[in-house]
Amino acid sequence: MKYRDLLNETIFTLLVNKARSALTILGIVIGIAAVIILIAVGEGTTATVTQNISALGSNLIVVVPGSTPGIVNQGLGTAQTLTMTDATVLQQQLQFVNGVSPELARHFQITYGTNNTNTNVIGANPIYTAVHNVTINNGSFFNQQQNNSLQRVAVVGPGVSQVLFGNPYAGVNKQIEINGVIFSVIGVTNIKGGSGVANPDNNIYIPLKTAQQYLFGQNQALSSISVSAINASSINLVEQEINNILLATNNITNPANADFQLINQSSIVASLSSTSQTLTVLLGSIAGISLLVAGIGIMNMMLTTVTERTREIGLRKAVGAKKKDISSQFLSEAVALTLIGGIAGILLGLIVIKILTVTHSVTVVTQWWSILIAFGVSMLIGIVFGYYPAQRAAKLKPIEALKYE
Amino acid sequence: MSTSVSQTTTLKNEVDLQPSPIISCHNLVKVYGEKDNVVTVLSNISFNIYPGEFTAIVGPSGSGKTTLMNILGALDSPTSGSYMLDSKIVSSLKDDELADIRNTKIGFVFQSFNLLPRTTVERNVRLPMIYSTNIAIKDRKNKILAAILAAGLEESKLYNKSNQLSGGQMQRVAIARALVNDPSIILADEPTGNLDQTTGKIVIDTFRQLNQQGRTIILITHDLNVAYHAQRIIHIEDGKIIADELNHKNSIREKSKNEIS
Repeated sequence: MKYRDLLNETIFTLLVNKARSALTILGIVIGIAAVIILIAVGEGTTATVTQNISALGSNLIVVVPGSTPGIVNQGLGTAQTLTMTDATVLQQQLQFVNGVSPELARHFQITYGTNNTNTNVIGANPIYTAVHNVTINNGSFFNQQQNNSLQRVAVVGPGVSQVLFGNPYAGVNKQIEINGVIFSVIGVTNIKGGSGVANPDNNIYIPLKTAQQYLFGQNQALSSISVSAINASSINLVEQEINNILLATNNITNPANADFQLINQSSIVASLSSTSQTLTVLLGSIAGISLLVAGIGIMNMMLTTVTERTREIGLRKAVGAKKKDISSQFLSEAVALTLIGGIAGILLGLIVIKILTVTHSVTVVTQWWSILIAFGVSMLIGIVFGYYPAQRAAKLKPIEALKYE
Repeated sequence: MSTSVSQTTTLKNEVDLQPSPIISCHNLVKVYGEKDNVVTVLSNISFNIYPGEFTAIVGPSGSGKTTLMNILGALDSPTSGSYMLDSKIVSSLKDDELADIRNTKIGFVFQSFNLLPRTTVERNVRLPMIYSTNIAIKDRKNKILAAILAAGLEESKLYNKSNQLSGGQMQRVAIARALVNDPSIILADEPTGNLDQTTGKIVIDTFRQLNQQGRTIILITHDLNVAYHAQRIIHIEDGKIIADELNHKNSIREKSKNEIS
């Protein structure tokens, strides 16, 4: 049998049973589209997580107080061991850094008129903006002079602004109360994105010295010191330096007794993106199962077809079709179904991804390899699930097949 | 039936003068079942058929004529004995070789037509050619046309769907399909069984015309009225040939027809 005839017979048979072919194909279309879309959503989530962490500051190393496990375990960041002296020493001695930012942070009640919220208030130096990639949308960040003169000025995140003033970028020159102390709002930051308690859009920034004077108390230990390395490759070196400097400053000889810990931003990115990679695999697997079910649907339809067309198979054999002719015809019908379904599924997947991208409802990253895999898998499904029915058809005895009612 | 034996002898003497037979069966036996449960369907069937003959194989149901047809049609193999078709020993061939024989040497016409449903006349007639290795694609159209004209259909029916045709037309499509690969024999199994008398006669006439053009035709039927249209009738009962005779009725009719013309 010539390939041309095989193709001709295949297309003809599928067209004769249009409705059934279309319904069988539908399963494959949905399966393939699901694989492509869910992988894109999973990858999109990974990208968003990575982006959000990067938004916290580039090449960031955060020094937090705390000790290695002892008899009584203290929660990370709750110990009172990080001081302004530590920050000053780091500032003076560290090389390869863009800035060192000592920070105080605590949740306070904020009120504006009848609106109020409870959010994270950060006392910081002006260097904070450089270290954490904070940009101002409206107004300005406070400067060193305002810090030194203990001015009660505040810069709010767009999330806070929305809650207090009903608009993400309003609020400049308004008076708010933080824990009962009046502050003037002098700036609103740009949206950074993020979620949960760590969302930087819900922060309020006030000068460090003002914070010590009015909210945290003069002798309050620092919540953290953020250090921004000049580039990604110097992160490890800077971490090493911080370690050495802080151990020396605090007269700790055994590194195991260190009363601080370093959190490296890239390690957070790595662990979070591995979590969302798992999510991608999970989503992909669920879609893969739907593809498998679709494949079984194809096999089911092909088996029904073989039974229905028993007489036709008998006739084809009577006029000279060999086993191979019959099996290749049924196999090519199955592969044609999955191939058409695969192409339609890829198109549907890309359309849905486009819609998601345009409407910004979910972040998606199209993975071209997922399309290739989906296409290959659909072909493979056709071959695997078409093989058994094709063999059944080819093995039919012509006499019995012709007699079949 | 005592006369039939002498007739067979006469026939054999006659055919000895002819060229080699197109079909030669020798001691064909077909047995179904195993051990205790053996049913002998054909026992020691031997006969020759020569090119250009129009032979009817007649017998009641259960006589073994369908089994004989399956063996002659290379759809089944005999348990023992030999079957030669067009100087090829068919009885010992494997499945794929049998498929080749069916494709090139045999044209089937079935009682129930067995056309592809919802498919055009052209596609139905083309079917045997797609399994053939020795017909060029460019020659197909002409061969299809020649076959449907030979089967008594008009060219205008070429693209009609098979389910839009009458029973007689459907059977003639089947005949065209049987002719298209230019086989050595046409094997027709109760070809008028699903047709009314008038249409049945038209179909039988088609076979007679094909025979007059030199085609070898074997007609399997239980109906003597149909069988009488053949030149030679092989009677089969309980798996044995009980008579093999020249059909005088047919010869007489042929003669009278010639005299009229």
